[in-house]
Order: sequence, then structure tokens, then C-alpha cells
Amino acid sequence: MSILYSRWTDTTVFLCVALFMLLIGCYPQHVFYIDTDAPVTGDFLLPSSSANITDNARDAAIDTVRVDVLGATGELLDVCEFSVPDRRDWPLSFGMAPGPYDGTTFLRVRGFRRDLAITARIAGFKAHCGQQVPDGTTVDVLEPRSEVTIDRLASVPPIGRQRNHYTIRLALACMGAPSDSLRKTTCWDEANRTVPVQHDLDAGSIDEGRTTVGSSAWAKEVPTCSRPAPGGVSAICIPGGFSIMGDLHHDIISGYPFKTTPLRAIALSPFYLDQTEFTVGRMRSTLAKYPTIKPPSNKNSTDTYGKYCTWDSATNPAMPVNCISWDSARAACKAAGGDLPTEAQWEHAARGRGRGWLFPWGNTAPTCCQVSIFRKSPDFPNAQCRTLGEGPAAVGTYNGVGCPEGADRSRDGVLDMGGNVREALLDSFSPYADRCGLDTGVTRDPICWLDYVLPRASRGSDWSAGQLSAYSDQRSLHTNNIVGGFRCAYVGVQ
Amino acid sequence: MAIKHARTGGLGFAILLGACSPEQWLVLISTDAQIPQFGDRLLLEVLTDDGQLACTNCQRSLGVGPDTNWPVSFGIKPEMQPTLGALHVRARLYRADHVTNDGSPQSVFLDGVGRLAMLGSPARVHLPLSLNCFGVASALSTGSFRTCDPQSGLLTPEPVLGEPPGTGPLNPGSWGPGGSSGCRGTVPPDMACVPGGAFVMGNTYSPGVDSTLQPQPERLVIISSFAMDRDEYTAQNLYSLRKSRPDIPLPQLNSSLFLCTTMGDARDADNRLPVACITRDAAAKICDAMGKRLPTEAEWEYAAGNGSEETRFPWGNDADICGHTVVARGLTELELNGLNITNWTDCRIAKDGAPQPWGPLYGGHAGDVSRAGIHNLAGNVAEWVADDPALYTDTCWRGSDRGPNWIANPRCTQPLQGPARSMRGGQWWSYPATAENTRRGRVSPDATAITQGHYGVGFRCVKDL
Repeated sequence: MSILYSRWTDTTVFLCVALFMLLIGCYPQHVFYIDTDAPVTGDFLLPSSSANITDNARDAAIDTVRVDVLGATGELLDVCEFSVPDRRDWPLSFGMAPGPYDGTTFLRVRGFRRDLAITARIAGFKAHCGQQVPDGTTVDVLEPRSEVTIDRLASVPPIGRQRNHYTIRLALACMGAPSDSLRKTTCWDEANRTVPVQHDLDAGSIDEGRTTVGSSAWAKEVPTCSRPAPGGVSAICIPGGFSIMGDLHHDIISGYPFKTTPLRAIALSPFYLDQTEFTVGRMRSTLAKYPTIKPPSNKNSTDTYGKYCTWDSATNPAMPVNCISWDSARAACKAAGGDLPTEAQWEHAARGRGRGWLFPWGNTAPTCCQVSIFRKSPDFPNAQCRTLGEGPAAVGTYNGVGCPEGADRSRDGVLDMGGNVREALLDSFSPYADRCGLDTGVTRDPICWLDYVLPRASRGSDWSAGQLSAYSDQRSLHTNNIVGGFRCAYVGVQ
Repeated sequence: MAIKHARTGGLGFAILLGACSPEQWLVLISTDAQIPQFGDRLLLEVLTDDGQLACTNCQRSLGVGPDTNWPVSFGIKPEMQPTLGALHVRARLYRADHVTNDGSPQSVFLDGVGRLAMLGSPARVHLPLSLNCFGVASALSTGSFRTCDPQSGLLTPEPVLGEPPGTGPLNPGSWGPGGSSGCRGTVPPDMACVPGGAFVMGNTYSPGVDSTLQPQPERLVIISSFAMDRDEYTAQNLYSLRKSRPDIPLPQLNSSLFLCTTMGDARDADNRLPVACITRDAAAKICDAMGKRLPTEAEWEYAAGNGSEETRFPWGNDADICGHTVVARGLTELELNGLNITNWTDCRIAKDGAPQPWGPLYGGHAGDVSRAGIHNLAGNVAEWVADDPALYTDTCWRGSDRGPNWIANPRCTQPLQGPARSMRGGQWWSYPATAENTRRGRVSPDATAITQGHYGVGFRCVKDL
């Protein structure tokens, strides 16, 4: 049997019938309906986004469905793609009838975002969208990345005498949970992320207009914090919701182990983030109260590098702390009633919360007046932005005044995430390929915590670094030196 | 009112006609652009005079592909049209990977707007999207919509949409200037034919490191067929050539000799390595001695992206750069031993943990090969091209007298600042992303003496067909 045909949705059944009558008479067939609870990218097209869908994160959206017809051992028999960016194209449906090949056992249905897939040339299949092809035929298909794909494997019952209707639902909670055509496992929903494939299809059809597109709770923004931030801190509530960590275009800047692929589908609870990097003044009062915390290294005015440490009694209290150990940074945050942010929290806040921004302020490349990077440093005395100063700047200096490109300010108003000092994070540094701290499928509030791994992660560029490191998904290690600082995060929900 | 059915095929069209009541418009969208090369998304909108959507259902996003039947048709059924004034149809064709992070289309390739005449009888109207209008955005100011005229390619007041012309709607892939001429003449075995065609040069998503080398805005470029050397020019090639042409100079050298592949004497480590440490003038002279020439930037990018396929890398779209090409294999701090050179070493450790040597390799990397069999475009050594670095916004990258919105076989030789020269492709010590074929590179400021910028720069030649 084979995929009969359908590019059209709301009259698919009609089309199938028409094709049957036309081509092969009234053979029995299956009709499959594919629906999803993920939002679709068409929902985000301006200006028509209506109120009930704008609270979804675009990163949760899909717009393409690829259907593979597989044989008993997982071999590819037929492949067909459906480009369905518009919610009115859902549920999509297609018919299946005895066709140019035998042995259909499984359907693999994958939903993903077109711009996160690559085009790949494949061979070794028997048919393309139900049309038989000669041996050796190649075709360009979209090859989705498993980590951001909703991947559903279903076994196909034998075609009987009746026309049977089946529904396959692509659950957003399953994004990133790969199906396994050898072990015959798949993800059904949030509670069943690795379950055996059986004759698991829901019988029945879906009426036109009854799609569940965009209904997943995982895709919804959680707009506010449900508890106050600790007293005495100037923190901003970062709404929770869905994000994809990593970026395919920027990923190629770095090699292993700093690559930001595989991507990561995550959902975060709301949290607070300090508006500014942790300052010298704040550290002074913290140490006065908690004398057991080891202070940062002292400024050493005679040392080439040590003179850029900010810890000194004469330092402007608005300067960011640097030259500090990860332990001391974390202790200072704990003393304030918080902790270091996780890598996921930091990236969520610095990339527009599920909008995939390249930089904290959006997608425009950084300039000297917008962000504290490429200032004069011992290694780069002729750095591009040297006229704006040397060493770190007081926090909030890059406030956009006199800068046509604006400030180093995030979507929620957090300052200096793009530059100034790198910011130490709670996570152990681990290559993304190792998937440390991730569940199968979308992970809620992920953290990678390895007691035995000493390097801790950090994010953000710094005053001495060039443009290549200013991307918000750029990973780095926390270093106890002149470029390493931190800010704190606080729990935002009860 | 609502867009009732937006379908992508003749079948849909037929069904719609069957259901068509006399009080509706049937809109046909046609194009002469190759699909999906010039777009896999079609955004359809019905607008009021102030440029707003006429109804909540008046926007529709369609996927279009190689099997879409054109013209794409849809019906518009007016329900409260008298209160709305005139209605306008807008169609935009773009690539799904050309959206902003907020999901709205950017860098739309084709954008057409037209006004619907009042309904009196069944109205079948046609909105053509021609590549003559590449990149020309419609201007929707209240009361006067302007859109690109498919004949002249210029922004003109929107037309009132009418029946398709006697010649019928446009057919995808029929745009005249973009037709491929194929490869005529004999192609030597060490060269590969690159059949001509149209492509979109540049990209929207990889901001260049240097503001003078941005790959934006994207340009519609026509390339005539040419043949390209399958391999980078090697030291061995040069010594053979100099037997008959002793006037060809050896590359100029400076003191950091061990980073150059061509010493011009017995110190050559192995003359199978590609030539590097050579000026562009010398490279051009060598090509000329063989009856060839240096490729232009546009030819190089067209070949590296596999022509109209526009892949991201010569081998396709797989972003495993270290696993496909020789880049980011610079010297570690230990190996540099105090030498003051900035280089990248990200690919010195393979995915399986195996250490990799620094420097270029004989024959480069087996994975760095285009569909036409051209090797090491992405890495090993970077390659001189015939252009000087000019912004894509500069005059010489803009339209020609043959059409204002596209350009044929461009070669820009207007130095932006100083005697800089353009090169393309990654090199053994550059960062991994330089392997992306839309990345632009240059060596500056000195084009005549060998500097650090030349250590990884070689060349290959092309020949007109």
C-alpha cells in the first residue's frame, strides 16, 4: 500500500474518494488524520496574531510534517512531506490504499519547523508520495533534527474491507523524544515518552476546523512570577515558557566542545534575574554581613592583567565584580536568597524568551557603543572599541544614550548580558552532545549538575572579547580572572 | 468575508470552480521563478485601503513545492465589502528559512499587490510574480499602494487586477534570463563543468564578522556556464608550469617560512600541497599562462553552493564542518612557541577524540567535495577571486541595464579601502564558520607583500565555456 495523496486538508476525504473512483476504483483504504497541540508558524505572522495565540512561544511552533512509510525492519518505502504553516491546514489528512509496494508496517510522522531542518538527498525508497519510482531514484527531502522534532511512530493495521479512519496526534511535550524503529518505541504524550508501538491509532476522524493546534500548555508563556523577589535585590521577573537553546546558524562559529548543537527543547518556570551584574558595592555589603565568603582577588595595579581586577577599596561601587571564584560567586548569590542562574535560564532571558534572538537586544550585530566588548585590553591594545575605555565598565553604562543602535538591554530589561563581564552559571560545563541534565522530550527547568566536573559554565561576552563571542548562545567556561563575573537568579514560583 | 479555499493545485482549482458562486473573486497567483529555489512559502492577504487585513481569515500562509500546480488559486467571497472600500490582494513568495525570529517574512523575494475591481459578474483575476521584480517590496501607504511592475521591474502604482493575459499565467522556471545554457565545448578532465543559471547570492542569517564583508542584501545573480579546476593549485603544478614558463615568478616570501607551503626551493615539505603565500596578482598571472582566469566572487559562490541548489556548504547542508573540511586546524599555543599569530584550533580534535595535524593537507579533506566533483572549496586553503571587496550595497553589485533587480556575471573591482583583495572559502587556520560558502573574505591592507593574511590563501582557476 502507499500514501495515496493529499496536499489539501479540509476536503481530503473527498479528494481521496475522487482519486479512488478515478484511479483504482473503490478499494478499501485507511484515511489518516494528523493533528498537533503545538502552535504553527503561521500563527506568528504579523499582523493577524489574535489574542489567543500570542501567548505561545514561537520556538514551540512547527510548520512541516514528513510522513515516512516503513517496512517491517524499518526500511523506507515511501516518503511524503506536507508544508502546513497555516492552522487552517490542520488537521491534515491523507489516504492509504494498496499501492506500488508491499510490506507497509509502520508510519513515522514527524512534525518540525522548516527552518530547523536541512535538505538532504536520499535514495533507496520505493515511492514518493504514492508515486512509484525506479530503483536508484534520489529525491531531496527535509531532514529534521531529532532534538526539535515531534517524532511519532505508529503501526499500521492491515487494510480491511472497510474504510478505516485513524488519528495521529503530535504532542508538543514529545518534541525531542525520538522514535526508535528497531525497538519499536515512540512518544505519545507527556506521560508516555518512551512506549512500545502497538496498534495504537485512535480510531475516528477529525472534523474540519476542529484542530487542537496551539493548545499545548507547554507552549504557553507563564507571564508572571507568583512570589516576590527576596528583599533588597533589584531583580526582574523573567516570564517562563518554551525555548529552544542553541542556534543552527551561529553554531558553526565554534568547534567541539563549545558547539550549541544538538539543540535543546526546554520549558522554564518564571524566575527572577538581577537587573545588573553583581557589583563591587554589593559585594562589599555582602562580605560585611557574611565574612566567611572568600573575597575576589585584589586589584594589582602593577600587573598587566591584575590591574583590571575590580576588587579594591578605591573602586567605584557600580563596577562589576570580577576575578572571583565560582564558589564565592555562588555563595554571594546564596547570601542574597538566590543562586547562580542555570545555563537554560540565562539563554532564555538573553534570547527574547523563545524568540531565538541572536543577541539580548535582538538580531542586530553589536556595535562599540551598544555593548561592552572589544575595549582596550592587554591582549588587544588596538581593539576596535578601544576609544570607549579599557577594562570592565560600571554596570548599566551601555544604556543606549547617544548610541543609535540602543542599549545592551534584554527584552525584559536586564542589562549587560551581551558584554562587560562573562557571567558564571550554576551548571557544570558539559558538551551539548552529552545531553547532561536533559529528559527525553521537552525538559522542564533543566540543569546539568556533575559533582565531579570542575569547570562551570558561563555566558555572555566580555569587555575584552570580539564580536564572535557576543552571541547569546555562545558557551564558555567560568574563569577566575579579569573577564569573569556573575549575576544572581531567584526562584519565581511558589 | 474569508479566503475560502487556498489550494496549491489544479485539482483544488477545479473543485473550487465547481463550488464557485457568482458573487466571488477567483484569484490566480502565477510566477516565473523556479520553485522552491526562490521560495517555498506563499503568503496571501486580502487588505483594505489602509493596508490592514480585511478580515481575520484574510491571511493565509501556504507551503509551495516542486509539485505544486500553478497558478495557485483561491476564492474570495465578500460579505461586507460595501463598507470597506476597495480590496487589495497581496502575495509574497519567500523562503521559510528567511523569516525573522518573530516569524514574519524578511527578505521577501517576490511581492505583488493589486486592487480588486468591484464585483459585478464572476471575476477571475491574475496576479503575476516575476523574477524581474526580485527583492522589490510593495509600498502600502494608505490610499496609494505601489508594487513592482513585472515588465519594467520598477515600483509603480498597483494595477487593477484583471484576467490572465492571452499568453496565460506565468510558468515556474520560465524566467528568460535565468535559463541554463548547459556546458558546451570540451571540459578538460582536471576541470568540472558548472552549468550556468540564476541564484541568490549572499544570505540573511550569517552576519559577517567585519562590517565591510556582510553577505547582505541578497542579490539575484545570473552566471554563465564555466569550467572550474577540480583541485586547488598545487606547488607541483607551479613547478611544472615554470619549466615552460620560467618568467612566472615564485611566490614572494617573508620570514615565517614554516607556515608557507611553497618555498620555491628544496625546503618545500611536499609539493603536493596547495600553493599558499602567493599574491593575487601572481595567482592571476599563473591562471592566465594556462589560458584560464581567476573566478569571480559570484562564480565561486555559485559553484560552492552547487548552483541553483544553493546548499550551505559544497558537500550539502550538513553542518558538521570539522568532519568535512580542513579548517580551524591552526597551531596551538605550544606549537606557536611565541609566534604572534591569531588562529583557530577548534577542529584539531576530531569528534572521536583523535588529534588532527595543523596546516593544509595533501588533497585536503575527502568530505569537502561539491556535487560536480570540485574539491576543497570550503577549506584547506582559501582562494583568491577576481573581485575587490565591495559592499553588496555598492553600485557594482546592483542591477544592470539588462534588469534593475538582477545582475549577470558581476565582477566588482572597486576597492573599498586601500589595496584589499577578495578571497573566498575557509583555510586551515580560520574559524569553522568560514567554510560556509556565502562568507566573504579579504586580505588587507597589503596586496603585494606576503603577510600573515597570505599564509592560508591559494587559488584555483576557471575557464569560460
